[in-house]
Amino acid sequence: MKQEYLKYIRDNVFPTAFCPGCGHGILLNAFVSALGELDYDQDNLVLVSGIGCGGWIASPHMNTDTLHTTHGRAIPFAIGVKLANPKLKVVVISGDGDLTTIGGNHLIHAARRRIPITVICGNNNIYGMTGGQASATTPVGAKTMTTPLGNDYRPFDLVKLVKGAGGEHVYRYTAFHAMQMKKAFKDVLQKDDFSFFDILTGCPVQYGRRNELREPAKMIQWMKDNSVLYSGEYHDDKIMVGKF
Amino acid sequence: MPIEKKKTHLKAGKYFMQGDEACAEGAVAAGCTFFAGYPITPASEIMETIVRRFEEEKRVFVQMEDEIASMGAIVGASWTGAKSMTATSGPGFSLKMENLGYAIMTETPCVVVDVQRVGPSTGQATRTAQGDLMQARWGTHGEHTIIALSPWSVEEAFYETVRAFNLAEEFRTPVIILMEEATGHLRETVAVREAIEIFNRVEEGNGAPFGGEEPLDAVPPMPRFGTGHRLLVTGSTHDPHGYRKTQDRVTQERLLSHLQQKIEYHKERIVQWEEYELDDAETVLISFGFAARAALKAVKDARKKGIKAGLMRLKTVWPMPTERFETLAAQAKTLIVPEMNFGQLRGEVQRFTGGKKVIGVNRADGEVITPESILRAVEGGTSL
Amino acid sequence: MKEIMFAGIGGQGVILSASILARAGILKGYYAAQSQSYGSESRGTATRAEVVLSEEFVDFPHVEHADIFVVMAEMGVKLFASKVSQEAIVLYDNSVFELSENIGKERIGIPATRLAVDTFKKPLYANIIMLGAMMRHCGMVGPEEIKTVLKETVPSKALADNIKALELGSGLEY
Repeated sequence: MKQEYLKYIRDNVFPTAFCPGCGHGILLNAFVSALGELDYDQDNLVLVSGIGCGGWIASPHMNTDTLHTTHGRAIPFAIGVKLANPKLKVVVISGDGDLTTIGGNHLIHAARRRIPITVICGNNNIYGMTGGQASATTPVGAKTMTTPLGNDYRPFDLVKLVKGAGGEHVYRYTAFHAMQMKKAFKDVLQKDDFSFFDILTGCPVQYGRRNELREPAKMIQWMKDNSVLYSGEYHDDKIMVGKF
Repeated sequence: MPIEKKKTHLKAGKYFMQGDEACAEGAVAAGCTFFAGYPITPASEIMETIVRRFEEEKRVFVQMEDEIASMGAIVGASWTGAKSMTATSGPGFSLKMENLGYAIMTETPCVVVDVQRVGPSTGQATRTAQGDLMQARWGTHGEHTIIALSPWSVEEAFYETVRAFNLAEEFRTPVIILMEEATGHLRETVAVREAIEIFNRVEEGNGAPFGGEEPLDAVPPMPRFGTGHRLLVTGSTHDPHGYRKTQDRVTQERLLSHLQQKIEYHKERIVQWEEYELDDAETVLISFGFAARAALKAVKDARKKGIKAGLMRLKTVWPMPTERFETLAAQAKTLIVPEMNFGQLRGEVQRFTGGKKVIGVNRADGEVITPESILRAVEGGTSL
Repeated sequence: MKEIMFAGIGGQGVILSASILARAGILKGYYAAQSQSYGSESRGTATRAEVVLSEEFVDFPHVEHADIFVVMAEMGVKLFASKVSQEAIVLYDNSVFELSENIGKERIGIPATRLAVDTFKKPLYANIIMLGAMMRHCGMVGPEEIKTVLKETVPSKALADNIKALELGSGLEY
């Protein structure tokens, strides 16, 4: 990250709350770089987040107006901000437990209405902050604190969920795809549309250690090996990345 | 004080309105520019009136996907400088509680209307009650203080809604309007005055955007989003600049003290009540909302029979005028609290009577409490 | 002060009658309060609508002891008789039922439904015919106020029939 982009970051909030190897930092870095490359007006940007590790990406790190809300409700708060002052750019950044599990209803309705906000889900497939419980994006068979013998239930495919609910401008990347992620952030920051990002950040500490992906490098490698760029054909057994 | 005298959008004169409508008209008059809601009986007419008015006045209405979302949306909107409101009834009021606590913690002005119906749970949607008095006070978790108003007529639904917005702005806090279905669906004469007083939010000023600095009872300025303040708004324990201090006991203690003192130390600007025939009263009735109208009629009927009865009627239910409870308890031979629940106000009054027993007249079957039943208690001096 | 209670079966228009009366009362300068009891299953069940007209603010805005009781269905008599004053005038639709109860002071039968069917070929305006009769006995509002309210509330193509129904009700010789 370039030195001049540090204006988007509060300098008095480090070290971050993120564990070593956490992909949320990569997401944050890509987002800040996107702002920096656009020389984006940080005083016209409101970042809204919920509760959990993903809720810490924007608040308190980002040096903009930030609204750190209740668990699962970031999107309704963001809609209130956006509708009351449509000139503001409103971006929600939160986690999978927050946005898609307890708050899943708000996500599908925001997509249905196509409210012109950007929603970025830092998806690490687990409740990290509370100690590693299963979320709505935990894969079948994955071991967590609440599924010690493996998860019985199918996870949401967030791209399909949001597209199915009517959302346009839907993207997925992993922590391996920092450059592509940044480019897509730049695209949506310059538009006033509804957009959604499923960003697989990975959680080596709470998810990886129970599922043979304890080493951050191994998890990134796994993301790289299993992802396929979407070009019209969707493979359910792969991590489809790109714009959908 | 940033108080402005403002013409209402309605021409001065007499109107015939429903309580729900009057509440919505009061919101429009008070300068409400953002309303988020969800359909629920018996409060939907507030939303419907708002929709009609907001289309004319180019303000923002959104029907959200649920009650939780509509409470969240009004908090978000408030941070853009909007005066915002939502309206609901029992089940919806329960759902809003977590985000109501968020509004308290983040010192976000907004107005929440609860048109009380019979509960618990779905209860009886079209029937009236006063069962949410304690929920308004303690419904959201954690130690906190709240302001709640209780209009007793359709006309007051108009003016108390204006007052609710003014108090929300002055004290940077959510204000609850606790109506009953009986008033929400009552149609009644409303005299609209030429002009009303509006409190405009203090956005710029010295000091940090959140409380916790000395003096602890001072209300901090509230800048709006998009004006370069780079605000940190959080429902977690935070210092006056919004930085989370989730392990620090001093910050938590100062923040809690601030949230309490900014309201409790300024009760004289918030707490309002009316007194009827109390000067020589030996039998003192204390009531609120619709029940107080039955109580007033009972007082007048009792006076005709030579019984020295009087009424104290709360307009602000939270905080309560507890000092006045004490003096009335000292004066009265008999204390009676009529209400449409099993004794929520009676319990509060009882704490300030120095041991004198308070008699309840209670009704919670969905019908309004009647002057006759209250008069029987006044005559008998015993509970029903 | 006068307390007026309307009762009938959901769908007969008793709430509309009460609302028209209250609005007319306001035009005449009175303080008016109007309420109703209804369930979500509003059709076919007993419905009650109340109006209190007064020179000043009405302390208790519901009917305690009705001075005038307008009843369009027998079901309403049994359910609400306890709220009718002993001095009341009771107006009932005697083309629908015979009043056996000994309520109020004066009991007047108005064949509103039959008149509505004879005149308009449907029972639709029976409530307005009853309102006309009530107006004559209430004495607090006149035809001018009620006509003004009708103009504001009913669809313009139904206005003439509504006014005719009102006149039918108020002009009847009892």
